[in-house]
Amino acid sequence: MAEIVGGFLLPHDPLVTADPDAPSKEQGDAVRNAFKHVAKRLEELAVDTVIVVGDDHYTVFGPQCLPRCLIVIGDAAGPIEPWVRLPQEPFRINQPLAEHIMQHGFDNGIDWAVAKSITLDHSTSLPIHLCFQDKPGISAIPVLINSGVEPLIPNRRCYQIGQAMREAVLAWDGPERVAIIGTGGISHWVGMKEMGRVNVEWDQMIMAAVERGDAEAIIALSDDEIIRESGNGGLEIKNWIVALGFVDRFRGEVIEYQAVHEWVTGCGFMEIAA
Amino acid sequence: MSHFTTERTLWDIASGPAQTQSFLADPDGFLSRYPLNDAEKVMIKEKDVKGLEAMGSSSMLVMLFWVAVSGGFASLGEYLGRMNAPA
Repeated sequence: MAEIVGGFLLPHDPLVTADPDAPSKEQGDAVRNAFKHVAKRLEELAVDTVIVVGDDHYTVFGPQCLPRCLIVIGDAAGPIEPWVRLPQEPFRINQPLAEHIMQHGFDNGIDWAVAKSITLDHSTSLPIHLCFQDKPGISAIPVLINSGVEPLIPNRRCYQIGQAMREAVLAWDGPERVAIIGTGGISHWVGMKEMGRVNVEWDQMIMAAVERGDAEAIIALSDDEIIRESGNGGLEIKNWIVALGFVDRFRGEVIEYQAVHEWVTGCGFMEIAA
Repeated sequence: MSHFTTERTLWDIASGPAQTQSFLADPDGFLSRYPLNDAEKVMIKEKDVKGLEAMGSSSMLVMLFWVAVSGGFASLGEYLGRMNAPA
């Protein structure tokens, strides 16, 4: 039976690679080292499959189609945006397990949209590149939820999707050791007049809830409150909620936090484990 | 429903260099493909980002539209200036 070995929460801020010298060297290095730490932990945990939860930024998908939750079961590459300054490369995808999670979801109330072949934006591509693209033994299963564009997916549904993926993995006969990465956030105002602001107090409140294993405190936040206190980008804690539902009965440990105004984001890194 | 059409227009303009150039070369011709009213067409042509956001367009999309038609991310200072301009 496949095993769930834990998870990570981290930013997918494209400016980390698009504009690496914008913040102080100290702050930039702290963020880059946090990504390296996650990469090292994936190896230490002998992970072979990482579910990477992100959200499209009105980039791959437009007003003509906005998937509420999507799983990649086939070919994937990324990032699609040249300005992120990462090579657009194909990713290793654990297709059998991805198809199983898809089908298990169909059978248990998760109406996935499905990507058979896709070029992803930075939300999943950047963490894959920085955490395990160079590790041939680790494959990805990218998952997108609509935390970036209205109509937004509810927090509770995100947790349920995480739980459903957990149940699917635990029902899988393969030997995989699976981790999850919830990407995005924390506070940032993308395209809003406050862009550049970081709400450190809010970010710390979110991370403290994760530390004590209190998913409900985050799920209970309204979208209006999240936007008011942490911007439209702060809604990406929905991606984190999926990861919390996947790990279940978790405790969180802070890896790093940097309020990087030059990268317009509160960059929080955490490890979560049962 | 019209602001959905506005979002579609902004998304199309920002969706790639060819589309962006098509808009910049002939804004009126480009916008004539969409069922926009005159006020919406003016907002798009004048890059009225504050007005586009106020009518309900995604802030993220409005920014991507601006970046596409205004010379890239280096122009974000002017974008923020417009977003924060007094009404």
